[in-house]
Amino acid sequence: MENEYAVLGRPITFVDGLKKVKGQARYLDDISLPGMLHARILRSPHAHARIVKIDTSKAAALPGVKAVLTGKDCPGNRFGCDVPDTFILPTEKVRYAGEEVAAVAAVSSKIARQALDLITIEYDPLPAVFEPETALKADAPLIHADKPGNVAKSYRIERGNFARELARCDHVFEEEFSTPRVLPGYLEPFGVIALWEPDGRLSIHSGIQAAFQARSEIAKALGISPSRISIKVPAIGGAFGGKIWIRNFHPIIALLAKKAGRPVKYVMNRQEEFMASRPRVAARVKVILGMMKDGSMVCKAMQIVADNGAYSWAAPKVTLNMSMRTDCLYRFKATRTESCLVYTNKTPTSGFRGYGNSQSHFALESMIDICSRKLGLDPLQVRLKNASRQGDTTLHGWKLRSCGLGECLEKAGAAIAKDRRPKSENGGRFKRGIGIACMNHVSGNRAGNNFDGSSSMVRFQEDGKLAVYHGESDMGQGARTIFAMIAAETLGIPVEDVIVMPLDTDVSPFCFGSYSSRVTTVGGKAVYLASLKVKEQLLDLAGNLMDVPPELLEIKNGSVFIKSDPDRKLPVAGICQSAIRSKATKALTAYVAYDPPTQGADENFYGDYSSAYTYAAQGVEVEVDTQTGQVRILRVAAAHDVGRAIHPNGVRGQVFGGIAQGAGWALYENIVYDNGELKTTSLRNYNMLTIHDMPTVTPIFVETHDPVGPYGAKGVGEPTLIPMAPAIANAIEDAVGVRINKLPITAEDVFAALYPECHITPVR
Amino acid sequence: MSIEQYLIPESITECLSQLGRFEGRAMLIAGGTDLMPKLSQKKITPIALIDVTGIDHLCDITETHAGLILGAGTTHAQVAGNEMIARTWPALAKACGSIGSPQIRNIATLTGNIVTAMPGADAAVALVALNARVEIASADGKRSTAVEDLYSGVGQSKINSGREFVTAINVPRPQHKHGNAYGRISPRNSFCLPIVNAAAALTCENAKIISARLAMGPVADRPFRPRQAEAVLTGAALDDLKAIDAAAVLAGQEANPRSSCLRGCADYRRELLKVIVKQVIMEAGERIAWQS
Repeated sequence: MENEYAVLGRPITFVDGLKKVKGQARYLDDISLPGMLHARILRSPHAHARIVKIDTSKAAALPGVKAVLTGKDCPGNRFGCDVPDTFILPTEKVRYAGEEVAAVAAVSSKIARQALDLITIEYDPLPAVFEPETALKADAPLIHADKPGNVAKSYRIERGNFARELARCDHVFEEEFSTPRVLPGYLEPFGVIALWEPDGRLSIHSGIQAAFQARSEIAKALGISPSRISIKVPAIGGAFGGKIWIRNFHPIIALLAKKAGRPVKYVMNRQEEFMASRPRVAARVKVILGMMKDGSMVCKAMQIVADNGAYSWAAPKVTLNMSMRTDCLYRFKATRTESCLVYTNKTPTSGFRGYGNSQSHFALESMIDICSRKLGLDPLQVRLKNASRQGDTTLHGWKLRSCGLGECLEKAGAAIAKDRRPKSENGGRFKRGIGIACMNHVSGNRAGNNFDGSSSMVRFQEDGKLAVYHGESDMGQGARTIFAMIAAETLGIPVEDVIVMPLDTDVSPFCFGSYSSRVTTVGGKAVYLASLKVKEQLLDLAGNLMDVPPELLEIKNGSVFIKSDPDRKLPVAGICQSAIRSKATKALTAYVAYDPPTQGADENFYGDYSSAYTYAAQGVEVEVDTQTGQVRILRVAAAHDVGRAIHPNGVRGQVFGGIAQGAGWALYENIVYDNGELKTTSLRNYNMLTIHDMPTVTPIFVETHDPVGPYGAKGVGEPTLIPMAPAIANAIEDAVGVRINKLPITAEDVFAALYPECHITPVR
Repeated sequence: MSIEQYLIPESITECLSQLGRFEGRAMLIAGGTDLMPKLSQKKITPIALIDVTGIDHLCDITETHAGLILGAGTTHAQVAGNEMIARTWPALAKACGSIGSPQIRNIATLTGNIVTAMPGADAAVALVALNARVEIASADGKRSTAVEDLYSGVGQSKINSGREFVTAINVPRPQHKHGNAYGRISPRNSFCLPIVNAAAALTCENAKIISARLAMGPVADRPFRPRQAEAVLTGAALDDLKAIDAAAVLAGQEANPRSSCLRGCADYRRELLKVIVKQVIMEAGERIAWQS
């Protein structure tokens, strides 16, 4: 099909790509301010302990130390997302090993580190609890005095009449699944520079995904008004959901900077990232699936126990997604989920690519293969038979304005079944199998009456270049490129003439943040609408200059021309100059605050809450070494309903990255604790996928042209990870007949399942 | 205590005199890939570092009638990419190519791999199977010791790098028809510590194995030789699959791997040893068969 667009769908180079490749992009640690101090943070060695006494006098006296901060220096405001239970620094007790207890700012990082050694803290260790199941027991130690039973949040959501539907099913299946804590594993460690300006305002430099959320959370923690804070976002070296929300270090460093009267920088080291970053919410998911003989899925119930860690960040929302989204993947008649998010004395968990949806997809999409096999049915056909379709209103009230789930399943299924390698090789040592899993996700997510849109300002400059101002972060996924492409396409100018401005909450339009796979859809729509408005202004002016009605004009390749007489044209740059530098005095500027036409979920979580729902199916071929249990992923066919691929190279990047991260989660990655002690303390013993483990990937775009997204586009950031783990588990069963219901699926697990007579019991 | 001096001697004599001057409180550094993390974690606290990479010809690889001489500064990348080594000592080339990442292999030395004394160190496991020796110089003179005799515990080498200096690693040339091989099993395909690894070196006369040396890691406090498995192979026909299977099973039984929540339980590691030991014996045998 011929591409009707000048920019969209074309192989555009990432607007900041060259700068990054040449090492010229400025990340947080590249920034140095005059007089800047360096901070280090003292962290608790205990998982649960009362703080008896903190003595910082020796640290404060060390030459070069400019400020020392403990809990008593901090305002006692609680902050956090749905369940605000976090203090800047604790005063009474610590609740996980790695929790911030004190901080030092000094003229060098080395002196700050030395000062930490001089702080003496007397702790009174308390009994700690590390597993949600134990934390729920009646005699378990209480982690927060005001949270009885150690329950941070619980949900019970039922649609239809589950019990009645279950009673009429031919078959009822029940299985339990578990998923581990894993790290977002971004390349650039998280950090901040804080500086109090002479006018009393606070400047924060931080590579954060949601700048305006950061502004309000830091304001809440410090007890000041949000507009007293400006958040400036430099280049971000990966985030994957781990940098959506602020950390304790943001207000800590702000207070240190205030105390010292100088700018203060803090960048986590890799060990701190392992000890105190925000891993994926680990969960146990029990699934009950009611089916008819013919493969119709009638009803589904889930019971979820999720690990919140010691404080609540995004885990309550993550658990809610886990509890709901898979209900809309198929045409169930009834669903019921009971979930419980539990405090443990471990690092707080939070959002990570998939945001809960990945955990429940591992459970359901494994379940469908298990049940189909028991019924002697083809799992792909069972999925197709039950798949949600365009035009459906799902059990949770989602309106599926575009839905390519069926097409994704068919295309991924066909692609992975084609060109298969032999099912058995080397005398049966290597066995190969294929598996498929599908998924649904969102592009944005409105809670209640909250804004779920995005804003943009688009402004022509006197030389015809276009400035796009935006408040959605680019953490490497390519948001800036998408914005430039949409503006260029809409205004008929080359991409090189668009400058996407740096993100600074003082200047950038109000936005909610780069999460929920929403940026292309709602952020891109804001750019599109603002560009349209500016186009109107430009054509009005051009009409005056050319003495023709503006509706007869169009813009292409940077020139305004008369549609019926394309040779009569004026360059955009010339029009801009006469608009701005003459008595014509046109702003050629538009600010659009866009909110998608969705109603949002009500207090019972019912309602159409996302601007666009996304679908995908990924087929996987694996090879299992039956002598060692090792699994190698050979091929992946990834079909994604992206609405429209605005930037195909960007979509491919998301597909490759999501597959790498999803396969790492499925096979290798695991944050391991041994009786509460963290064992995976560095990249030395935490295995992420390397290029040598990467399969051959065939990306397949399914373009359903969503009616809401800009030029029909929907999100793709998270969907590429979500189906990987269940597709791999399904392929392993196809290869060797062994089903593993836990992640990661280690070689040891596969071996133990292949040879029960060997009585291998993995240590965990 | 912090490092007060960083010295770059130009000769072995100068290096030894500097070591002597610091009376054990200086340490030698070559690639630094093991040393630097230990320094930053303050596991060791020397007052001086003596960088040996300035010494001439320290990275030379020489093939002689007697065998292979690797200068003490030879890196893993040098060995992994050396065609001559790959022909005669493929176990060593493969082991050296299995460690870490390209950046690490480019600076990490084989001597470091031996002196760090980790039981699963890939190159050291291959060197033990190949019956390699190291030449050690000190103020008291020179000595030559077999690699396998240099261990006194996990991470503890009998080489005192505060007083002694390894000048070369010698790998003997096999006297008969010979084959050797190395293999490892790790959680992912690169940049990863092994769950288990193994090397085999076989010599053969009239299609009979006349000597077999096996080494495995990390299954003991040093690269470990399963003597019973070696004994079963010695005297067996090269294509005696029963003997090879028996040797692999014995090797698994002789090993004493640790149960680890990161790298697998002991029983699983024993099962893997059977697989990898059999694999390296077979590969070594095939190499001999090709020579016939």
